[in-house]
Amino acid sequence: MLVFILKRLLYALVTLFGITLITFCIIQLAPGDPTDSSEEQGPVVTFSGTVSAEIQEQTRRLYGLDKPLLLNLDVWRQTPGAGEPIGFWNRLGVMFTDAQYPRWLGHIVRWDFGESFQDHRPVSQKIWEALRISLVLQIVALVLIYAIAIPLGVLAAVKQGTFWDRGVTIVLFMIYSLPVFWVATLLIVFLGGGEFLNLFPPQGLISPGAEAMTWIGRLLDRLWHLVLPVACLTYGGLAYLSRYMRSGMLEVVRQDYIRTARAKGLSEWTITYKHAFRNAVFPLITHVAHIFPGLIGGSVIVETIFNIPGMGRLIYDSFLARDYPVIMAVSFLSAALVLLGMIVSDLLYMVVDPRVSLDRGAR
Amino acid sequence: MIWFGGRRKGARDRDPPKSDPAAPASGASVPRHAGGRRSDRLWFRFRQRRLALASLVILALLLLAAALAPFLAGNRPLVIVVEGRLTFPVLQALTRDDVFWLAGLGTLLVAWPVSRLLRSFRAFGRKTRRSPRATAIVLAVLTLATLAIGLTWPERLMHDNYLEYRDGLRSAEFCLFPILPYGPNELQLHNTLQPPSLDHWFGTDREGADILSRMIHGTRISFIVAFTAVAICLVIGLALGCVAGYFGGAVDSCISRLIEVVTCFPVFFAVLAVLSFLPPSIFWVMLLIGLVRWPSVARLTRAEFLKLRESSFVLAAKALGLPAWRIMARHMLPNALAPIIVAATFGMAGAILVESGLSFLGIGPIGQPSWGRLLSEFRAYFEVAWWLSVFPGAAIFVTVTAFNLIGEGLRDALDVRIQS
Repeated sequence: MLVFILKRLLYALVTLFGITLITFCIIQLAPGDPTDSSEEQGPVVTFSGTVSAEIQEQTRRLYGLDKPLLLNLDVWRQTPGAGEPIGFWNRLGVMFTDAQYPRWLGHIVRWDFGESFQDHRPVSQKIWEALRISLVLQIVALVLIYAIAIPLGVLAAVKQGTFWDRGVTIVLFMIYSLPVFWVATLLIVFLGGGEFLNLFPPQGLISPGAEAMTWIGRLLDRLWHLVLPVACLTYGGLAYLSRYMRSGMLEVVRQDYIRTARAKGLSEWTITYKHAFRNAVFPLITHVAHIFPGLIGGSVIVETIFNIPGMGRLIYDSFLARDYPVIMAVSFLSAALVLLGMIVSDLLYMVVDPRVSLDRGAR
Repeated sequence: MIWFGGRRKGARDRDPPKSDPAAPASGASVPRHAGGRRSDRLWFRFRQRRLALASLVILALLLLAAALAPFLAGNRPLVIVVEGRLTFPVLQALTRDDVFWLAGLGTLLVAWPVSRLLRSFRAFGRKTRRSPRATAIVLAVLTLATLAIGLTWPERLMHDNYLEYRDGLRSAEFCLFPILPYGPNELQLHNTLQPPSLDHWFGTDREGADILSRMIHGTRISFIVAFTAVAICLVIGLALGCVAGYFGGAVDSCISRLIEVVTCFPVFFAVLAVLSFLPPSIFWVMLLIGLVRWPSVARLTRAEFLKLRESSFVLAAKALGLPAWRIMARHMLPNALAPIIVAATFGMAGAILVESGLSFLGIGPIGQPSWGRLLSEFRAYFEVAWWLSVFPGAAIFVTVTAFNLIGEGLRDALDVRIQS
């Protein structure tokens, strides 16, 4: 078991390394130099104005833009200067550390993403504020997805072939194809103070006068604001997961031990919930790895529409302002977060299901 | 198991074709198709699912609407007779896009009968009776012709004001407008934010443009993006998946890591990050969607190839000394295609969702109408104009559902076990 965990973590480390490489490649796409302000190209103009020389200098330092890209091979060509002589090991060290990518990696390891072009605040601070809000939304959505999808899937499987089964299956299939931005706009138009009903607030997370409320009032206010965005985040994964639950249940019901249980004369209830359900529900854990990226990706649209200052909103705003440090940090962290979700779901699956073998889990 | 798109060489080594469990026992058509061509068998099974069939019809209609957009919705008369002179303004005003789509539609309609005709000739008969080579040749020639016409078509601007005929300010002897006589970019500033009516079936937006007209012209972007992005996914995913599954070992684990790395990037975050460095163009959007979404194809291909490489017909091909690329392309790939085709169909639905989501956020081509961009206008007017959000969204929903239903139908017809 320990071997498995270590193996999984090692793979994850390789993947994380790949993620940093790809993020770094994206940075290189920047037209010319992201901080270039030479005469031919003119100063860097963003939507919020010209980037100041100070910020450019700071970014230049962060990304080390005057250095070679991956490895500093120049060091082998240089003849030792008048100063201290450069030995083999020293050169090797310089080769691997004094280039853009290793420097950038070093900054990331130290949780230093530079300063935002927009408001000069540290990127890590901005991200932390956004991440807290996004994670609350996503975890609430994830819990709801599982809490609703499992009973629905069981219902459809137990009543296989009946009106209920067909109804649930068709409705879920339709729901699965609904574009999230359309659902969000419809919810706002029809429930969120549009032309029709005004049940839920269409924007933000707190009401204007929330500071004056008691803590329970503030909690209710927060929940009231969360209803629409969480609904938007939930329905897609819900449809996806309950179809798996249904087919998983149907698979388990065909197994020999269910026939044995039936032959023993156990009640249908016991068979369904003690024998079939428990075996069908465990594999669902691995689907966290599939739903979580969807939740994070969907947060861009949902948070933008509902004006929630989370990660998705942050990258959208930074995109509009061409705020490169924030964009790169957020896209790197979102990928790392997805990777974390994958690892957690793999390990969790192994913990709850002792039958899982070493090579099955470690892909 | 059903094979298509290639020869059946070696396939007999695998488990013998099962009798069709999905086909009902009723009717004489079962035995007729049991030994028929595999595309016939596939079609026969696909037809059993009424929803999938209906979706196919819907998609065909949408494609037709996309190709014939200027004839369905536009502010130029199809035919007009003024002072005894007969002119076709709509033809004179065709843009490069219009020609491209019309020629593409022509290609599709012509390719099938022409390839049938070619097959009937003796000269082609021997080789092409079994392989789809004739179809491929005809399709390639016609596609090239389409590209040639589309790319060399001169952009024209017509300055005649035909709106005066439509609005009754001037009269002609005979004048026939498209069913929807409003251009997608025609701004009627006196007609802003009109609710749906007989004149404007789906209402007008804040600049007075007819929403239905914009939606018809916006169909093109969705389909172009769906096909191109999925084509890019297939090229990358098939190539990497084949190599990983065929060679295994170190190559496989390298490519598997790459697959996992790309999977980790949430689509919207990756696309936004890259697009922030690039000019807004539909080309980049398509390319990026393809670049972000290929891992699912690669994973499926790899899994199929890992299964197939153990089979005896691959061993036989290896023993014959065939080069690796030939074994992969001619022996293994045709047998691995079924799940990939299903995944590609689901992928088209996904690509449309991503594209419309991006244009909803205001990212993507400016100036061309697209469904997502139409929907994004609801923002400022959600208190007064519900039609701005209902109709464009419904178009996206219908198209995505149709693609998903076809994917389901194909999955059942091909007897594949993958989930969307």
